[in-house]
Amino acid sequence: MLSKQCAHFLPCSFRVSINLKIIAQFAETLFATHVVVKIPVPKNTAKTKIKTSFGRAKYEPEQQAIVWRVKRFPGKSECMLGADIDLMPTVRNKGWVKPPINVEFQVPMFTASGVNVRFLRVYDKSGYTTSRWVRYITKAGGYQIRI
Amino acid sequence: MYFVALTRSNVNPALVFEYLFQKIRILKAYLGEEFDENSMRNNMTLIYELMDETMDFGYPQNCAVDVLRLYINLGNIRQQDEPDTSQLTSQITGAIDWRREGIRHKRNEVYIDVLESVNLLMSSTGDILRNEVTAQVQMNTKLTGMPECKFGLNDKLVIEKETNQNRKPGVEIDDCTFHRCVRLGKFDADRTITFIPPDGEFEVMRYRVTDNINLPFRIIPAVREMQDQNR
Repeated sequence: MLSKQCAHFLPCSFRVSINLKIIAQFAETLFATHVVVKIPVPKNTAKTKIKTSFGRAKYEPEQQAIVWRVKRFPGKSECMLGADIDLMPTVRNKGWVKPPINVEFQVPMFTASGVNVRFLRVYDKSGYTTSRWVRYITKAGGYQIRI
Repeated sequence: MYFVALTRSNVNPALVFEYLFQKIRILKAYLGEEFDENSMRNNMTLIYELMDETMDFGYPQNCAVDVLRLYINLGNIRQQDEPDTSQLTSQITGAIDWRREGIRHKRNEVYIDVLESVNLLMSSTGDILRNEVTAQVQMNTKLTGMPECKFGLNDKLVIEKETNQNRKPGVEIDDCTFHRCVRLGKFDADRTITFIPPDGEFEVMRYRVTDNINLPFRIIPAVREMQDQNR
């Protein structure tokens, strides 16, 4: 109600506050790398104040998002981000159409499906021995959370 | 750049697409990952020759790069050991056209890489709208001779058959597709993946899992929009 009135009469300003908690659910012995969380912010963002418990986050205007990067995210740990966003006053206050939060990551030696290779054998007539390696990696495809 | 195939009869569209993709793969192997119109124009004769080998009378023939390399080389790089032409016919027409005989490696090594990609779409109320894992199993083989490789996954269908109770439950694998070297009959019989591999890197299988996915990250957002009282 308030915002509607406001839109009709005067330019007005708003603030948005975002709190985000991210929990790594894989085993302690593992870690994720290249974790990037993109939190969308309104177009008319003027100023942001961001606090994170680890990693680096900053507002990237060209992406219209707060981009939070964590190089190494240990398993079974959790991490918080708090952001206060000041918005520029706009005449046409159309409201904010929120795109989803997008997450990218890589977790080596982890499979999200739980698949593993149970055995691997190589037979040849000459009967040589073979060195065998199995590696696993899980990446984010489209990992999105609507807000 | 676009690749277009024309046909006069009603052929299987999957065949046409598969052929075009194979063709692109071959061109990448010959002209480099980032080939363009220019490099295609400069290598017209090579492409004609490749066309001739991979397609006969409208039927796709040999599309294995390793085998094509044996007798179509760019003209300037002649191989040291000329392949035995008597073997060539059996090579192309034989049952295993993706691997040539007489490969030697000093050390025999096999690498398997399981690459999974998790897709998740969660609504603002925390409901999961879409969640699935698509995966590729890549292999790199450096093996001598004509070896037979065999591997098994912790597939639910196999694990359930085994009487051992304290085993972890298997995974329900929804769709799988295989490289054409894999013996599908063997897979249908006991769910093991058996094959004579091509030399070097290749994608042996793809699969999809939609149930019981362990999400690596849980994300809980809280967004509050408010009017600033101070201004």
